[in-house]
Amino acid sequence: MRSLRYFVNNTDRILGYAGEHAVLILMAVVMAVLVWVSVGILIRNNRRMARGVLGIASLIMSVPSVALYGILVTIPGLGLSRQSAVLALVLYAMLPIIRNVYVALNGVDAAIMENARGMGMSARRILFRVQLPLATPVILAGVRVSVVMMVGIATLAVFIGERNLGVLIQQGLVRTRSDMIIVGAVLVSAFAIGIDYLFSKLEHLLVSPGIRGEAA
Amino acid sequence: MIRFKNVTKRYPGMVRSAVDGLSLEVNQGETCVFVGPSGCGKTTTLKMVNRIFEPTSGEILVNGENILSQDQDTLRQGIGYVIQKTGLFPHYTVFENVATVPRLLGWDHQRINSRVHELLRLVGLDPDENAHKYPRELSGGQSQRVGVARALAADPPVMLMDEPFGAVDPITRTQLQNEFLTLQQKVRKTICFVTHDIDEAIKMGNRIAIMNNGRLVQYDTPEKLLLAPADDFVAEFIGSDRSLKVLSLLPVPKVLKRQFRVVKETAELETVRASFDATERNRLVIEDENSNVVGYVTRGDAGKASSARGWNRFIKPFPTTLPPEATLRDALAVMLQHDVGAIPVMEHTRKFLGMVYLDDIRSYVGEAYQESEPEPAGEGAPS
Amino acid sequence: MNWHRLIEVVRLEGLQLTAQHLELVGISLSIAIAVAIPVGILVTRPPFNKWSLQILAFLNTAQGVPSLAVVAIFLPIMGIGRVPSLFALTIYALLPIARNVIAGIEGVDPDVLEAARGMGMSRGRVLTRIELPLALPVIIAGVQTSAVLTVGTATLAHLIAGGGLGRLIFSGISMHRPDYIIAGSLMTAALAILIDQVIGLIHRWISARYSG
Repeated sequence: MRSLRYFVNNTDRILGYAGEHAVLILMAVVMAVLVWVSVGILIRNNRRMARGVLGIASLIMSVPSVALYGILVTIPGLGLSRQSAVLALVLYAMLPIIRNVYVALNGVDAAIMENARGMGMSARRILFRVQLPLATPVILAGVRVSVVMMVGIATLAVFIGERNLGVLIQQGLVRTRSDMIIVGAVLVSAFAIGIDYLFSKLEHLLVSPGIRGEAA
Repeated sequence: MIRFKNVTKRYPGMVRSAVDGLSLEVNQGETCVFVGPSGCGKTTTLKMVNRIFEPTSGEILVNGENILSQDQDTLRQGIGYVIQKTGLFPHYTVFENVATVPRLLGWDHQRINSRVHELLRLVGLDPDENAHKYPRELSGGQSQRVGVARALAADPPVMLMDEPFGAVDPITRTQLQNEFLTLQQKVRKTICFVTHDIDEAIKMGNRIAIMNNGRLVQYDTPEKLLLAPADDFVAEFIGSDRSLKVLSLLPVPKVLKRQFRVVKETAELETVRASFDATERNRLVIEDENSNVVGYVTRGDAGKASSARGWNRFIKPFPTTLPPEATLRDALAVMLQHDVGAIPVMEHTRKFLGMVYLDDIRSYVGEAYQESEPEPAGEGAPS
Repeated sequence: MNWHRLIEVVRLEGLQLTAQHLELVGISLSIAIAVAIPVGILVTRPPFNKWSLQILAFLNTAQGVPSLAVVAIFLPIMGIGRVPSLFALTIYALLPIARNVIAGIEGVDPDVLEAARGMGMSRGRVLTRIELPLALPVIIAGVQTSAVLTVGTATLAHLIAGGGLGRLIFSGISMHRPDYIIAGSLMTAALAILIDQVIGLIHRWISARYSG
């Protein structure tokens, strides 16, 4: 009840935080997809390179988020800034996106690949017309996992100067205000679930009906 | 049309060559079936033609031109390719799958559209019903038909087929084989066909290339192969029932007895008796005014008849007949089924052509073996 | 940055805080494993197995709740200190383990189960001889995920006075002391990576024994 009252009384402020949250996530997602999908495509035919890149990615994945933020802010030029927050989120997306791109591109049925080659499609055309469309569900699943993760990790960016939904939880903690904590926790969770749902719709938009519902 | 000149393929790290000094020629419009046990090099041979694998040495000429001197993708666009697991693109509709190569070649929409519809009808699929389906909505047999349509899309003179009917159930396979034979009558492609099934090879091939350990053991027509296997390996590979298999290659007219007395049912008894006097046979074939067969009369029955036309009641119908395109195997099967030693062969119009006798089949096959096999070597080794 | 001061920070506070951190992780992870595995198995037995997919979906969604929220949410009820920290960490650590136990057991090929049942194995035997061994890689992967998450989440225990390496990082940020931040971050990261690797080794050891 108190939480609801807090929410109603502070709608503007909370919407502002939500907006900041969304902007941060959006920047990180766009960058992460552009960079990591390209890296995944580049390493698709090089098993040794893939193993190295995925090793680094899983190492980064196991660095706790508070620690990663901590390390990034001490780097000159980054500091307590949005760059640090975005970079941290992008780094966490490295493993799920690259791994799924790599696995999905290499997972295309050998018979399909052979037929594509046998019909005289160039390697480039095979990549864009066959491999990527077939890999889309799995790649989307990777992006989906990373974005949902980002929403949670972004709340911790309040400790390095971000003003997003995490502020509610952090301030609630400092002031022992359970209403603020609950509003913050519920909104962040709803945010994550909402994005998860959005991605299930995105699949319908991007994936051919011929393979829909097979992965993810 | 397709010429292999001393082609060898050795994979890195392998001691033995996958294909060893292969030379053969596939004539225009013919189907050459490569057959042999697994690992014999048949698939490698096929896949060198469209440069999925490159030969280590030797030359492959398609239409007189060395394939290595052509652009790889252009070469492949001109060669139809069908493989066992169809390799249909699951994210493309049937239409888009068939349209793949025409699109690569930059055809306009109108032309692609009419070509795809034409092809789907050609392989026995209703375009309106199937063009917009995705591969996962198709049965195994339908997928294979789409695979064949896709390979034929740009009307390539050459087709490569790697166990194209290997992944479907036996009934569908027989059906697809028959359909493909009919299709090939129309399109007359030069085809390289790989299978491990000797029966399929005999059925589909104008010529069969039997391979073992990377080498070509025998390259011959199915008939020659069955009658005169080059060595023990071939004989064993064909199987001890090869004399039965050869029967399915020989059409009934080969042993047909045509000099047969045919009598009209309106004839007088005298004519019937005269006809029996003029022949050693114990039966006369009887036909009606329009030269349609109605049955036969035996010598004994003709003797019992007394009045000029009373013999008609002794006319017995034949228990079964054969069309002229039937094979000796069909004839034998029908004989065993009906427990008869002779069957009449007639046109679909019921015009009499002659009789097939069990004894004639036996002696014809025996002679064929003797001709091509002076010594009884390599006779049906037990498997 | 002054390396001398960094080493000093580690020597004076770092080792003790690491021990505290390890204790938080160790206790909560142990309880989480002890609870999540039986609960996960129970969920895959009748009559609960009817809802196992829904439970799995719920656990997946719950994983989206940010760690900060989980740590904070118990503050009003339980106050601050070690016990609320352990409680929050345990709850958070439960999710990935339970999820993977269910997913692992549900993922066993139904044909294999049918074959086992057809040979006359009892349900209990099917569980211990077939389902659990086959699900083991997935279960261990869940423990691995959970351990790494818990090491990270334990840094937040500092916010409710639960101790641990979070103290170095958070005080470093508020006091603008990069040496504190770096010391805390690197030690936390090293701890997480170390635990990840150790569980990975255990995983490989077990799977080698099972497949050998």
